[in-house]
Amino acid sequence: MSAEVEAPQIHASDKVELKKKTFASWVIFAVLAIVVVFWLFPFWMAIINAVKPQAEFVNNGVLALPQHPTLSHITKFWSDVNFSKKLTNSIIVSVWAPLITVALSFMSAYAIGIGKVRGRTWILALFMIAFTIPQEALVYPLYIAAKKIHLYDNLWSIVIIFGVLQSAFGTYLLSSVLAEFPEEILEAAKIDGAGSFKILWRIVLPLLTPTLLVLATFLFIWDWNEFLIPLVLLPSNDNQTVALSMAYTTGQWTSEPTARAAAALLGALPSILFFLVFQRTLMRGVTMGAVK
Amino acid sequence: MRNESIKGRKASKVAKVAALAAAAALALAGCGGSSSDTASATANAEPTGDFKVWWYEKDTAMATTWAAALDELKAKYPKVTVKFELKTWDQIQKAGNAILDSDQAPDLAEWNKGNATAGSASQAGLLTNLDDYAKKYGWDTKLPESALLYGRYTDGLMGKGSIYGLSTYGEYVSWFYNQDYFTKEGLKAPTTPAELDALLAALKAKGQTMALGGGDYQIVHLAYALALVNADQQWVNDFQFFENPVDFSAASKEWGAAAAKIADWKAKGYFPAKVSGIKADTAVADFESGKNPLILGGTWLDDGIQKSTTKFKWGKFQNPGNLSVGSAGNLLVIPSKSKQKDLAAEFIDMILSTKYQNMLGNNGGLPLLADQSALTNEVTVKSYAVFDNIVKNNQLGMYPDWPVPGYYETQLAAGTKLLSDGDTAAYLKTLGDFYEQNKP
Repeated sequence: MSAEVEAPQIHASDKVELKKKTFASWVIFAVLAIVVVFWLFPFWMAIINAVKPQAEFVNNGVLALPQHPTLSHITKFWSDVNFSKKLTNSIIVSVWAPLITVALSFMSAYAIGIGKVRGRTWILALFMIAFTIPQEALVYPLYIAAKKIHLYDNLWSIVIIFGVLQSAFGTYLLSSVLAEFPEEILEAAKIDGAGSFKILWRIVLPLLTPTLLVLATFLFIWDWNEFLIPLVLLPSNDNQTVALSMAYTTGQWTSEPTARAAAALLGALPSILFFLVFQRTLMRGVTMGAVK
Repeated sequence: MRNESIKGRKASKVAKVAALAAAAALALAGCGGSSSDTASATANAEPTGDFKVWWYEKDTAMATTWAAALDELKAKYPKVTVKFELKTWDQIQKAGNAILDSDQAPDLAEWNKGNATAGSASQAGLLTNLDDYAKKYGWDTKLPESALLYGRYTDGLMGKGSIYGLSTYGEYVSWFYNQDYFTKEGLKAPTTPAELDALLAALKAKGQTMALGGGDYQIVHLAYALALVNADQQWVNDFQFFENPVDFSAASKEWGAAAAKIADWKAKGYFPAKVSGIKADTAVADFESGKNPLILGGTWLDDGIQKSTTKFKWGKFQNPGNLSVGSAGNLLVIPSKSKQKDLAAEFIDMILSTKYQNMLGNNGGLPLLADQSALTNEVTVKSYAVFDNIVKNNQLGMYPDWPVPGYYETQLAAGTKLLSDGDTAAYLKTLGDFYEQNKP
């Protein structure tokens, strides 16, 4: 993309360089095109198999285009697992948990990155360790804790757990951003008589909003796909999330490939839509960092 | 696909989590005290309140039949509110004990049989001891011991002791074959291992092979099916219940012979190309589409094969040899926290009645107590004829991954490797070492 933008500025004396640039940009283009194909392939497979009748799947195979597309796998899966309910549950988790995470991470990162509290390196190291612990090790203690506070089989247990769990990563990320925060702006604010809280609320937060949105977008997609902890903590069907409903298409030995494709499509679609809608904020957040 | 990768990643950790959950449940049971909660089999007044029922059969004969039985129960007790939920096998496998130990436990549930699930739950006192109900309803005399043993646990080990769950249907692994193709080529269903070898050679000569999911459970089942060819019931008891040491050497007539047979078949080209990378779904589709005329598969494939195979007639034959891979099906259990134990027991008894056993058979399932003359479903008649023979001769050899937790993954990896490199010594060593290291 950047190569294209630069094209009009080229002078005759730059000819050699131009050739090089065009060649390089073609290579980059080709590589990106291949990567895009690889990325889109799974979605393509999910789409064509989700609408392929079972008989065609058996006779023509997984790669063949559906001859008589049908929506029956999708509608059957939707009603079998009560997908509307799962969708609502997943949205609750994937909206609230990132909000908690962002709020917690922002405040603790402010203390570490700008407040420069003592021992911040060790605190960050501790957080690093916290987010490398596998969920398998956490799930049983969390189960007991959730039962003790009567939040077992309650969606909010998941919201709280992921809200807090992922703030370790959020704090780590935001601390390194805030450590680079321009000293002059903070100095100026102090001279104008702003206290810590005012600086946090009126100066740092507005400037950091794009970065926070990027973090929230990533967290949305992570929380959307969480499997193990919701599986253990949410036994009732009415409390389960979209990721858990995928398991309905696979038995102990049997599976229905077309139904699974339909489930995969339905499960991934919301987070893809979300990503497309918030793509702009993502790009803005990334470029913000680059300008500084 | 996105979700598959999630599932794959998590699946490899199943054993770990299951073990963790089991350990924790054990610890809890230790605190709780009562580890053998014997049910009171006294008849109560008309039941009222909620009746929470869970199973994970979906679109199967069991699901259809049990739903019909549940409807009858609803009609019989209008004061009871039946709350049914469809669960997944995965959820019971991974989160089963956690659910049983909570107030969200169901009143009646389908549960995975085996030491890792029903076994550890019974040991932790999370399942109701059904001995009294079994006596009251006569389950212990009605069902053959070969079907009861999957619900019997002692110290969490399956096979002996008190009844904690009941199998109400059967399943077994045998060969499916394309009858039209066999007739056209003048081939016959084999009755001895030598005839099976001759059949595979004949297929090879015609440029054909069996279909086989070499990267999936089908290789695990094939290996065990071949091990059972020369095995006897005592060997099964030794292997499954640790009665005597099991020989994993190349000279052994069970595992040793099975490994040699697979390597031999591989060398002779009796498997499809790139067999170690084939998934079960693909192999089944290859049989259903008529691409390959032969496949080793379980009764759980009956329904799908019947629905998807439109171009040709298919038949079944037992894997020739002493025993067959198979067992009675998953269990119906009553959790210790069930508030409707009597009602749950009554429901189990309904499922075991001739009426619902026949219905199960006619829906394409494999009943344990059906009246064979009442079976009209052609798939069941095909399957039941083979099953009846297996059960009558006491030839059920169970499944190869039951003895120790995590054995399935080991056997799958080793079996897939054997299909690609033919190294029987390495295969036997992997299977033997894992067994010896993990047996109780």
